[in-house]
Amino acid sequence: MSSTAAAACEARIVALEGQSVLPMSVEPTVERLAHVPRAPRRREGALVREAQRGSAEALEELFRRHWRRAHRAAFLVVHDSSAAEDIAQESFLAAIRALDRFDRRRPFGPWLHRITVNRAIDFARARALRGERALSDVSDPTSPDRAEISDQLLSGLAELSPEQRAVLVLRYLLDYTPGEIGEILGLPRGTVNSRLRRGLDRLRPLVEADRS
Amino acid sequence: MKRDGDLRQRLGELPLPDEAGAEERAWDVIRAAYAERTPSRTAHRTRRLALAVAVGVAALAVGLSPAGAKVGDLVREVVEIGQEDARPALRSLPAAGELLVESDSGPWVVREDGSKRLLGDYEQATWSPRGLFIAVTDGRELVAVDPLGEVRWTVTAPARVSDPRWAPTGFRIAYRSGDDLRVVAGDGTGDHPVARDVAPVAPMWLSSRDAKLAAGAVPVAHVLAYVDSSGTVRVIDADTGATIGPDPTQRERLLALETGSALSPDGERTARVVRRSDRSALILEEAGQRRVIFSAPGRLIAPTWSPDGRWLLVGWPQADQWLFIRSDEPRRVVPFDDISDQFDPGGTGEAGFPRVAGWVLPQR
Repeated sequence: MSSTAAAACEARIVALEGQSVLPMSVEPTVERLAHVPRAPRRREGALVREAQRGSAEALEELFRRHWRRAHRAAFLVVHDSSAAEDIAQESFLAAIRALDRFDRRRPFGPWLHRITVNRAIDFARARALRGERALSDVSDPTSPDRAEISDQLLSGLAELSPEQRAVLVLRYLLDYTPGEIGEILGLPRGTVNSRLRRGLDRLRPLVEADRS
Repeated sequence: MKRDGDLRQRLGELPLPDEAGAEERAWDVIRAAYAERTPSRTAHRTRRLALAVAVGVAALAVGLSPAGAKVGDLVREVVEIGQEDARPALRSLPAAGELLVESDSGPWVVREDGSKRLLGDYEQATWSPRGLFIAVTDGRELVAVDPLGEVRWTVTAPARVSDPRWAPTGFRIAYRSGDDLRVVAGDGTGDHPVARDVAPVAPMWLSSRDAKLAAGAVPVAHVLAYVDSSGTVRVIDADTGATIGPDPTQRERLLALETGSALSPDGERTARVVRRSDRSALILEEAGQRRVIFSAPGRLIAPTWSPDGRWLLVGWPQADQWLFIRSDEPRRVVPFDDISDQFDPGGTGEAGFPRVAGWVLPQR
């Protein structure tokens, strides 16, 4: 490599390393989500405290409150019911293992959702890399119209990357703001917004077709 | 917006297969795990105690000989720490920075809060010095990605790519391709061979201080050491390929790096894993002094320094653990358990033990 070429390369690299790349937050997300107003937070704090002290009833109430949305979120990201069940289950188990260290002043939901959605993204990525195919195993024989619509929606979601699906799920299923989603996934808000836009562009026609 | 409300409603109403059954199955598992919280800790302690006893017996055997007395003392110190419970999940790193981890499923970036991101279906990986990018290998390709896995550039080499090493300046990456040693600029341009018939040993970039020592009066920006097929360590100018000289002083360091050693960020200390029959010891060398800071049955692998030089991370495949050890305070060991599973999501549980390929403090 000539010295001129080398200097040109270095100049490009300086520009490359100096440019604004997607920042990855290193602060504990749970701490920064502490301000997120979530429904019955105080009561939930009491449930966490009781669960920390050994109350299975308190744990069950926490589980019943959060299982369905966590399970659904995992399913919508991985599109595999068995995997979604495993991911949601493992996320709860991880939460239980860390229960003693959990600060009960903080909301339980964002903590759990962060574990669940990130595990789901990693699973979907790993499966894609292994060349496995997702199973479209959603069906509801008692409601054929709804099943058809759901299949269309699922097909639309399936055309998105796991990361895009996760952003949509966090926004429209779990009701997080783009800023909160950025914190959960370690993405800049602009990236979250662009993924939301692209995802909505893909899904809106399916939803509107159903509405009309 | 109404249409967004529709999407929200659809996502919430989407029928999931056997949703109620999944909930009950999960609750059975969660309830059982919760009920076993205390007993499982006891079992964990028992296992840890058994391991500690085994280590202690070995330490006693070492301590019987005068030469082993000091090592024995240190090992016994570690035994006390080994009774602490390992943490079941990597929830946070003890020092600032991010890890690059090579696993069967590909390289991962682990952030300080313990969250992880799989970069893709790649093989080996190396950090850029500022942690902005990662060079990964995939067959004949060398690929630069950012920490979220977005591909920045790809170079296709004539033969299978291995052992990428990003230069401390950030401007060059050296890698092996078949029997060749090649260098490419950090932006993916200027890929060229710099040596033929190299041994299957990773190249090593010399620090600016060592480069000055090797190159003498002539300033050379990128000095690379490698081992040729005859076993001779050669030192070259990575931009021109010009030989600076066979350098016997680099041989020990270069080969040591291949056999489980790590230079501290300040270049003053070396952490080295030494194997003796069925045991391994992590030894710290500084100013001609050596001390054992950890010893264990089986293998210890890939010692890695934290960016601040205060912690050493070492893998312990036999225990499926990573151990974070304070280099200046060996009594402080922070173990993490079930490492293989944590880097094999959705796998069969038969994944190999993940290897740490670097720990940097990103300057984003």
